[in-house]
Amino acid sequence: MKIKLPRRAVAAVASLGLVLVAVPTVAPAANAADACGLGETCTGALTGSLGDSAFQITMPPEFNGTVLLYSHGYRIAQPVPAQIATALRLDQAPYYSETTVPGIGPAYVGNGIPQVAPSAAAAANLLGQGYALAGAGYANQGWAVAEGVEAGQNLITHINSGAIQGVDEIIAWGDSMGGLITQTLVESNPGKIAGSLPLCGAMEGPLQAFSTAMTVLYTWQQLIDPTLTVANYAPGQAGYAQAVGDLAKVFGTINAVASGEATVSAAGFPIGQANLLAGLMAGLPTKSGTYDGVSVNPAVGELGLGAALAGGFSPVSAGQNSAAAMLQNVAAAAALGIMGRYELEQRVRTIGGFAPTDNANFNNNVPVVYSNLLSQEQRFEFESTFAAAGPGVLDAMLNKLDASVGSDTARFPANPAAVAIVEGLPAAKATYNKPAVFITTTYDPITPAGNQFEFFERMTDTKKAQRADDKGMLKAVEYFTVPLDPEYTQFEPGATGPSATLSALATGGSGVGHCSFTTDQLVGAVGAVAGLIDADTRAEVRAAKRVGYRPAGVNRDRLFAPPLLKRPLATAN
Amino acid sequence: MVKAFATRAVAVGAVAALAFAGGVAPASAADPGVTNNKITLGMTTPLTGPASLGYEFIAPAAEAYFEYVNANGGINGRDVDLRIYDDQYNPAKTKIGTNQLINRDRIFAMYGALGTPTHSAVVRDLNRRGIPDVFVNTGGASFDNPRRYPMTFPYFPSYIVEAKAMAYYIDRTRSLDSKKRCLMYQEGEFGDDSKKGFKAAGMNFAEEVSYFSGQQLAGLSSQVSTLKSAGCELVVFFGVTSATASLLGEAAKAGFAPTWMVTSVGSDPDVIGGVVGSKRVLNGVYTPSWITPIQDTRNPYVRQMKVIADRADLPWNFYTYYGINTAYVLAQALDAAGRNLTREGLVEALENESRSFRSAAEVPFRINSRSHQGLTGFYMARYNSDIEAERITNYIMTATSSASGKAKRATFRQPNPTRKLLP
Repeated sequence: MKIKLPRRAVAAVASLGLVLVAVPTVAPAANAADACGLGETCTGALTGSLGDSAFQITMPPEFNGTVLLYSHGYRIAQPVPAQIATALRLDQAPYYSETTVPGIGPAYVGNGIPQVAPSAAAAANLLGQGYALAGAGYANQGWAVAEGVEAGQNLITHINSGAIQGVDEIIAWGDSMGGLITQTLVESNPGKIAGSLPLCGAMEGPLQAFSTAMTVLYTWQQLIDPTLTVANYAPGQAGYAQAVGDLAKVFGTINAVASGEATVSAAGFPIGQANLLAGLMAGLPTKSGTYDGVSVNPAVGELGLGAALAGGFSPVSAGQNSAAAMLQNVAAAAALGIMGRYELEQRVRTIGGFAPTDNANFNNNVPVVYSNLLSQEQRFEFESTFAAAGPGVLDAMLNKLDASVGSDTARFPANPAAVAIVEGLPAAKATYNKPAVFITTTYDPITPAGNQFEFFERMTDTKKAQRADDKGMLKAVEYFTVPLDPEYTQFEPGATGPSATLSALATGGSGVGHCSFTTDQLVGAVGAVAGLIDADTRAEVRAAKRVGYRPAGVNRDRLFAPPLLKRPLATAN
Repeated sequence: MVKAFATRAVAVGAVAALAFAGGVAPASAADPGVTNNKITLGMTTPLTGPASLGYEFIAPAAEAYFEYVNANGGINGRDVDLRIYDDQYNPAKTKIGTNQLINRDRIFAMYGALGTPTHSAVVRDLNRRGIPDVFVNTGGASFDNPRRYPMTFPYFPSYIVEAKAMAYYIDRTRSLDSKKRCLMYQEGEFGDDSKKGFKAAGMNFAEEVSYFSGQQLAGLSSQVSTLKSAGCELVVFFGVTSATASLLGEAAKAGFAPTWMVTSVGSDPDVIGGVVGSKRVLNGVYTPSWITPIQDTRNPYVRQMKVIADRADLPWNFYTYYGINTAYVLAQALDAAGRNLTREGLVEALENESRSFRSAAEVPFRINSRSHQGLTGFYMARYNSDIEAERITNYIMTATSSASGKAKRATFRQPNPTRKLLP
């Protein structure tokens, strides 16, 4: 089908494309002659066609010749009310600034402060090994892949212009949306980057990332709260108010369910189970930082099920544990899903020159058959959990969702022009042209493990990769991290619920949550990329890959495959 | 990593393709879990937890049989090492356990994994990895799907077959057909399959009630109340043994005494007696069965299996008997796969030689490249005043797991066992 685009949209998309295929004319604001000295941290700003991006270079005391160029992840571009921002710990992140929004009050908004590594501990370790660390803060926040790629290209130019002396090679790495920026950067600049390390990358791009959110929020709208806007937010402040309203409703409901104040929605559906269904259909994991999807409160064994229920002990079943995990996971993903969609729709409106009444939605859910998103395995696994709400509730929920299939009014049709604009944003194509190491959190609620896995599979299915594999020289590997203890939900003696602190400790900081990696895992993955770049023989390739498998919490099962990514449009009849 | 994955995927695909073609899959050397003197198998099953009643005897029984085989020279010179993971009938734990069995214990094959929801959580992954998944302990019909699950082999007849057999018997037994009949089932595929079978047989119920797994611990009084209020005279029940015990116990307390017909997997007298306090609640209860009655100690299978159970100091109940019986069939399959034991070879043996496998079953056992059905039918039994399931039909009722078609009447002659019940 040929898609017609407004002329201005075509021009805007084309200009974004140029950012990718040609090195933009950059006039670095920093003086290229000023090399960053050993042990120093140097900052500045680089000007590109999309705006100024701040950068930081931190030099080790002894430089090993390799620069790690880091691309940071998504930062919410619009202020998040303080109450929600605090729950998400944005108030503690240096990459969010406090602000005040009239009518809302204190809020936190993503800023452009540069970042050189996922964590201070990882940075310290890598500096100790002699790596130089470089990274940018993008000119704009939100789905800023174009800005991130431009910032990375400018920084490479700056580094190669003498900002760092004695550079042998540059390795690109980045997490979440930064993983996508990383790989896009490598594909656009193969001659300048020696290898890449996407961490929990949103590699399948924004249409896929936000289709996950659409599944969750549409389910919420149909089964829990019909007042949610979900998509096609209004332009400007009116849309911001809608998005903040959606976010507040979701958080408010989740808090009410978690505290036991709410159990059944106005539509008559059990909220916990409806949310679990939403998450399952979206492919979110049934494990969170506190809930492992398995453990039950020891009181069930001591008191029996009836007495434990009467005493308010929870969880009393694996299904209840999973449902609690899904509440946490949806809460974690909601800010990106709602504020992120609002921001990207505004971007679409601007790029496309949309009229205020134009539809800016880019995720079409009109033909989606939601019941087909629930796999047979998921259905069997949680059937008793859904049945606990009453026989037939699962079918009733799925029937309600599917009843509107094909309806442009009950569903959210996409504007083809909006889809084309989003598809035209910078993205990686899974080209195998440089050593690539991927590391994935197995139970990630924001970038489900299947996202990076399916990208990796496509990359390693290319002819070039297959030829390399046949020779034992495939320089690509994906690692999956898992919680150190698979049954990590922990209870203080006699407690009615699990201990978040003890449970988080039992995970070892590995395998569960968004981009949850230990320092050892990050350093191991960097070591694997560096080793693959240098490897000249099959034995050296194998040895390099082993480096990434060594840290605790890395799954050594080389045949592991995460659940398939949920692709809603593939369910259409 | 990619190459290993691709190779395994090709292997699975090859097995499937060759199976359809009736060909022989090439042997691959050094499959995991096989050494010169040992075969490592894995099992996930509830040894503890609410659904473990009765089922906890199956794994020790299989272990006892394999110890017996090992003491008599093993299978083609190899001992069998069965690794058991207690999943508590919890799918999330089944995933953890299966992962451990594959990666830590490096099993050759899964054997006797128990439960429909539990096994559904891992069956796709086992097949993707090309791991034989033999004699799944569930009547869930979805596992008989060689195209989707080429490595998975059910053993006992599906719940669809069982429902069709029940319908056949009720239709032809005036004392039952004239009663107001009701159905109670466990939510999930267990209950859904039973309803599919009755629907295919054209049988309707005046009242249908359900329970969800685990609810039996809190009691099934509301379901009993519904059935009683509806005036049910014949209640057909599809649920696990602990739920049968809860149901019959609650019914006795409520003075509700219909005629009961209980699924074959949920009526062990010892388990029910232990929960209710008396086995007498089973007096007169109908239950389909496919295996020689446990009390028939003149039968050579029963006699020898009881010897094996006694030597291992195991209680002699249906689950012990069943556990030894299926382990015996698996031993024959492993033996038939030959000295050069491979995963592909085991699949080939199962698909091509199942007709020759012997067991205490009193119905035909059928596996081929197009169907992994396993056992194909039932006879009807009824608990007598000694609380022994007594066979009351001299015929059997066979059916497929298809959602259409009724059961058919047939006969079957049980072959003699192998010498000393060794493969």
